[in-house]
Amino acid sequence: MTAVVVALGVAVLMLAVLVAGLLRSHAEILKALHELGAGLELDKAGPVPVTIDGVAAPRRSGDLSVPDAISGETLDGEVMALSLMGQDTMIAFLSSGCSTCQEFWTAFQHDPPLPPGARLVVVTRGADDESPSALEQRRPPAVPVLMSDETWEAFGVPGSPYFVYVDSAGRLVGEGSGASWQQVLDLMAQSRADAVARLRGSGSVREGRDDTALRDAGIEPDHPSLWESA
Amino acid sequence: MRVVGFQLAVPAGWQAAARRQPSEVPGRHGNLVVHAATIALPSSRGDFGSDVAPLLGPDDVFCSLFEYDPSSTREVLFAAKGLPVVRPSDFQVGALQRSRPGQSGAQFFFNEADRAWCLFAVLGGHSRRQAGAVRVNALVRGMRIE
Repeated sequence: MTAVVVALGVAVLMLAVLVAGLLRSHAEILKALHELGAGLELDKAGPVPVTIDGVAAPRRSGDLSVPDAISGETLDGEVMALSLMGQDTMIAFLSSGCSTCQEFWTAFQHDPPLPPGARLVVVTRGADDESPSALEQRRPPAVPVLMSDETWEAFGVPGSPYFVYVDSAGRLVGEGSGASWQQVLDLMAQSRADAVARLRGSGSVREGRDDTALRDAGIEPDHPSLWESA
Repeated sequence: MRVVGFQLAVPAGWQAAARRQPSEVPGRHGNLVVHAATIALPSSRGDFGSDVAPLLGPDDVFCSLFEYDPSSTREVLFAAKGLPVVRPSDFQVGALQRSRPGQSGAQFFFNEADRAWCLFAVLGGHSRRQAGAVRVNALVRGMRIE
């Protein structure tokens, strides 16, 4: 009898340890999911930020205004400013130290492919947070490199590598990150296509927009001009 | 763009770069030289745009704002006060150091904030000097010398 009780006691103890272990691993899984932004916040509107090792997370929404021009110091010691109006501009926010950025520094050495009519500008952190000598070793021959904390802050850049695409009208058309130049180009092409679709609007959107324009001009549905034939 | 003693609001479609002149050259003492163009500026550029002018298309414009020694403000050449207003008729085909077919240039010496300056402008197409002058004036209006 005593042996049975001892055996049962040992079994209960082992089960208790097993359950405690399972609960602990479950808690760790929940914690990891929470850090990824999943789980409890999934019912909220908006994108769920996901961090992939070496790739910057998308910046959170907020003030999405775009400056008319960007400026910074070049590796030649000049102060350079570029207007963002009049030509599509892809801005690559890179650093000399991040391992994922090396892929892009290499890709930019030899005439990187770009969307038609667009130019490429690399922007790094300012000289206080960057190594000009390391940048000198990586600088692409035909792509301007600006060191500018101001530009990073203006675009709310979350980390490097990070890319923004500003169209010739100064609108922020796309932004994000990727592990290769081709991924970034695909991402920006998709963003540009989405932006064009948004500008055109769907049928109902166009209809609503036209109605509003007519109403603003004082033309209501029963206005005689709508029924007059030429 | 902001450097000590100079500010520039870069107009749409322009790119600008400012640097100090070599201090070892007599009379320069690290004076300012600002280049601006409606094309991408090459990294190697002569003070008056010798490496940029060949790259200009017919609608493009290049400007160099070159600072001389402050003592030059006493010279008659720099007697004009304030930044110039550029007219299409100011551009001359023969005003370029190295003449290129279709291109023209204009040069303005003036003083501003007790500093002596030269504004040198090159048009990629002399036949489009009306629009070119408008673009140069848009750039000049954005300059502030302190």
